[in-house]
Amino acid sequence: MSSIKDLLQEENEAERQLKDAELKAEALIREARSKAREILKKAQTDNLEIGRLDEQSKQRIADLKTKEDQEFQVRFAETEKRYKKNLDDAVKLIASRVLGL
Amino acid sequence: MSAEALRQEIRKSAEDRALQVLDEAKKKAEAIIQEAEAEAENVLERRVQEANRRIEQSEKFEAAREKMESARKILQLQSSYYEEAFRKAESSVASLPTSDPRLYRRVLTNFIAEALERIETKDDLVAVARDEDTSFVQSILDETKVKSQISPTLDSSMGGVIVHSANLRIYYVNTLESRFAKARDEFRADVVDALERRE
Repeated sequence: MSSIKDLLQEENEAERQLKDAELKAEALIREARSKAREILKKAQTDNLEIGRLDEQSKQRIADLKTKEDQEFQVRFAETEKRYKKNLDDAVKLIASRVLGL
Repeated sequence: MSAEALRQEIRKSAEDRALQVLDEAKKKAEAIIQEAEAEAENVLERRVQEANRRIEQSEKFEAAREKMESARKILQLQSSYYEEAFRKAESSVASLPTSDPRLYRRVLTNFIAEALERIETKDDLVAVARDEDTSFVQSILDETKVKSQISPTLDSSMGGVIVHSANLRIYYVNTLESRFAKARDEFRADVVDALERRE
């Protein structure tokens, strides 16, 4: 009689142990899912890499503007010099066309 | 099998089952994390790709804007010299009647000839000139076989001539102002070429 009672007790203990393991397993998976959500959220909102790319781009644009401005200053000066030099010819051309000469 | 052995068997079986449940849960949890990490990597990669595309477009736009701005300033410079060339030409031509009357008369003669040639009417013609040009214009008209008269009412500070039919239906405007206006439209490319000319 005592043996049957012991066996039943053992059976109950086994069920409790299994239930306990299942609860721990559920907790593990819940925790993993929660961590997974955090990982994804971080990937969706973390701007570290994109911020770095933006900063690099800002620098490239600034460099480009500086370069373009330097080139423009040279081109502008050359163009103005040429226009000044050619102005009299342009005036003569207009006058001769207007006068029909 | 004794009761003790059976009890131990139940215990061992329960322990094994519990371990198996936990083991499977750990593996599943690891898989969830791995999947999330892989997805996160994809998400980040997509965001970086998108950022790179945005940045590339933005840089292209900025480069184009800079070039357009430079081109606009050069065009503005060209336009100011173009206008200056016309101002100087107008000033030079306006002084022609006094600075070089012979040349002015030759020009006026050509203007009258051109007007008489181009105007198509059988009606009598009327030439309109500045007060100071009327006698010269009249002398030119007298040399032609065209029946014409002079009307000294030309509203032109620079000179030239307008020829119209007596019934006022046909006009040929050949004043210096009108020729300048025409020159602005017709010779822009040539004037710009002259300004742009390199040795």
